[in-house]
Amino acid sequence: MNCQEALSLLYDIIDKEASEVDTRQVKEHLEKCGHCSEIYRVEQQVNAFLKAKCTDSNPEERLDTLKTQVIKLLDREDGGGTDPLASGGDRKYGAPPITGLTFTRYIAAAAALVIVVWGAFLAADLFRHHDEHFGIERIHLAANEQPAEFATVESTGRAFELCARSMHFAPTESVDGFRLLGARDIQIDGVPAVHLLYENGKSGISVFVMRKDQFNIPPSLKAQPTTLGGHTFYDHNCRGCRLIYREVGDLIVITASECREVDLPSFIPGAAA
Amino acid sequence: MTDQKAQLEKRKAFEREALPHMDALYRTALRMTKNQSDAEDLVQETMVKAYRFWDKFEPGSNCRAWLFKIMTNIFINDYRSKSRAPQAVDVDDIDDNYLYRHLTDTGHEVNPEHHLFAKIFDDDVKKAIEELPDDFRLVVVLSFLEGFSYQEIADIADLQLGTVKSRLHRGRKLLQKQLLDYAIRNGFIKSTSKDATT
Repeated sequence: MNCQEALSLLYDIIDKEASEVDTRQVKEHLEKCGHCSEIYRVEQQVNAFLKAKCTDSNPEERLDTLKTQVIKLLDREDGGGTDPLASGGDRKYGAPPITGLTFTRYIAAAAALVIVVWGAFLAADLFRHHDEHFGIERIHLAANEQPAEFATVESTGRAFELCARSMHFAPTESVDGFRLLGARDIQIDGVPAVHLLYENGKSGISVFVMRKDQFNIPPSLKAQPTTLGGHTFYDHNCRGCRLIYREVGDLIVITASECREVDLPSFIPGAAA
Repeated sequence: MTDQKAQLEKRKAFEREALPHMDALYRTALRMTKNQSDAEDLVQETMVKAYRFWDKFEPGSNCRAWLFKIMTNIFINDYRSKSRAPQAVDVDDIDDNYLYRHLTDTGHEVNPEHHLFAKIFDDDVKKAIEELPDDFRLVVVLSFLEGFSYQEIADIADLQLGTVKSRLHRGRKLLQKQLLDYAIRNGFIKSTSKDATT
């Protein structure tokens, strides 16, 4: 191998893209040729320097905001899966029905526009509504996917201990045929909570216990209380997972289930200790 | 219920496979768009598009490269055209091994590059990269910053392997020239008569 050949492979070698044969031959050449080996040395240095300089300096705080933003967009996409209006509407409602009459086409276009605008309002509303509860819904759905895993993490004994210690809450071990599987210490939007999971062999119910001074029931929900048998609760009963918020002493207790057969309002998992 | 389960499965898989690559997408997007707000928009569009087409992703294949392909595509179609200034660069006038030639010509001591590197800040390198024409910058960033192989870059940017290599080579030459010009302008190293700095 001569100098020209060795230098033509310079960046392939630096980028580790050269074949084994080429790499070996270049190496042999460099051992004999001071000129080429000096060029290689400087180029390697320059390359390492440039790579090091462009790798660091990542604006972490912007990244966190961006991640939150992306999660929200994914939530909106998820909403769009069950309700076409929630995806913004333009793709599904943008094309007016095709008719032979231009006039009809204008009417259709106008109607489509109205639907799109109305859809956007509706989507915005759904999105806002969705947003407040989605975290809790997701935690429940994820836990409910793997109830066995949940039960092995913390035993029922530990569940009682957790509730008593951090929340002064006494859970009932068995409610309406549902059995307490276990509990976890979690955070919901940064607020400490105990997450209990109940199961009756067919479906699961999550119970989230939080301190009233640390967690606020969403105002839109708080404005619409339901009273049943002397108990007041706040019912978030829209698509997907149903959530019932209750004030129990100094605590907020949320019950969650995606199963329509479960009578969630009458499911009372325990009392303040 | 089953729909919802499938939806949840998709979401979980996406969050597990795709979301961890957002850091990398963002840092590349910043270098490509050269501004924070465009970079954020680009990453958001990329993630939403990837999520919509998640069923097209083959489990077990290279998710990072797949996401970068989506982002590169959006960048080329929607972002690059915004500032389509003529990219007249006479790269071919720049000698190969530009830094090496200069540093040896001016008779610097052994390991002259140490002296030079010590004075160049991260921001100067960043600026030099941002000043590269879009086409060169894309391959340089994918290679230097993200460590993609030539073949991966060819797939991501939809280019021939030879084009990737030549753009990368020319990008390197430009970078070396810019950094040297910068060092000379700031008096870090001596200029020789043949260095035409402006």
